[in-house]
Amino acid sequence: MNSITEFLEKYHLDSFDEVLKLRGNEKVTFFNDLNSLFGSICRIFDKLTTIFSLRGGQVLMSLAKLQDYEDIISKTDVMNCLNVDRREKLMHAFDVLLEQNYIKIKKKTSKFHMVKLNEQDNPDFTLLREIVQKFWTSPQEEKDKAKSWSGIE
Amino acid sequence: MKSQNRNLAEIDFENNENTSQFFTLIKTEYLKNLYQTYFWLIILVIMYVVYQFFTTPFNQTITIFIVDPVIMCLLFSFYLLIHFFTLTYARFTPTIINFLEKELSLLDYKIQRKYKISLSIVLFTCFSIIVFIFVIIGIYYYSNNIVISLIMRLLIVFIFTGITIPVLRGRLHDIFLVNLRNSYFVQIELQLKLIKHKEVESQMVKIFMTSNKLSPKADQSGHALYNKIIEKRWLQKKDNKILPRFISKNYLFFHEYATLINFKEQILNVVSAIREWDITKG
Repeated sequence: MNSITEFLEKYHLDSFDEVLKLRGNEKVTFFNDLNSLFGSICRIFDKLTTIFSLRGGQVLMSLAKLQDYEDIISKTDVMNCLNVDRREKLMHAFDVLLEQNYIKIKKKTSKFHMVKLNEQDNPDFTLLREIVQKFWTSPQEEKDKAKSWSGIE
Repeated sequence: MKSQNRNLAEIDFENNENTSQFFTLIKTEYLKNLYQTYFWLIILVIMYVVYQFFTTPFNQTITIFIVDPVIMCLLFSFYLLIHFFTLTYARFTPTIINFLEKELSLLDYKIQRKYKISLSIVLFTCFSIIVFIFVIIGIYYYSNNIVISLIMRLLIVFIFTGITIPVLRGRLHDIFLVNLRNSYFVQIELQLKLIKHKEVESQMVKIFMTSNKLSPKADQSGHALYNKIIEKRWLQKKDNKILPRFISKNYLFFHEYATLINFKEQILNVVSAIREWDITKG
């Protein structure tokens, strides 16, 4: 089990008309599925914390987040989402992630590079995408909220 | 210096070579300032000691010359000047300040230097003046040689510590402010550990951030909200600053710690916490 949406649908957890009743084997399967999800989350933690690039983990998260709004994601979109001022700061992260096969990059022009999470080779990224899209506040969103809080008149 | 500032735009913490250059630059600027300060400090002390040596008669009768109070007044004025000027103007390396300003401008915030004259400095100066007056009175009214000699030695120690303490506070531990809406602010304190070679480069500059007073600790609803926010945002529960703040003991503050690498993210975290506090508390 690598998807929280699949898990919710399987047990109708998002339906408030039905009562959740688990008996015998169903309960065992439920716990196995839940454990499988936690296992995936731990593998995600492991991958994020061992990426040899300071901003590598954040680039993955921003890609996961942006996939919710846009079909085509460029490196500039990632830069804006992470509230980074220069693309050069993310170069190392993109190189490392590409090398580790965590992302796919299509170079349309010399400046326009399309980036995508490589969910095919890393099935755990589906769960990462689902969690991030639902719960993560990106630095850009955080900045937009806090921006109006500047004391500059 | 110009070329160094130009290099500043190229700072990239992803690149080890650039990072090392950046920290080497900070270290050079910092040590230059520090050595300059200590050079003038040593010159001042040497001048005073030499003056004492030449004006103290070798026989047992000590005569108080008229120049004594004049010289002492000059030295004391010099001490006060150093005290105020170092705290008001002498600051960290320009590279660090530029870096912080640049990072904050990305968030539409402006950095402000706080050290005007705080209550502690006023109290310290008042205390210094009172001690100085007593020393002068002591020199005039006590004919006892031992007392005079003791007072003169104490004066040397007093001047030395009087200069050293503000210099250390001003040079090694400084405060900046980032003003926010509704009279809220974030206070930024920097700690530079550039002499220790064992320190990891990114840890050489430590940044402590503190909000202003939120509410008294006795306020239970405030305390509950405070706990909720600090747990949610992983904020530090304790103030890890170098100098203890006795006044702040009974109030709640948000505390956060950062290095130069994650400064922008961490200050955004504190600002968001303050915003959440203000909105929820109403």
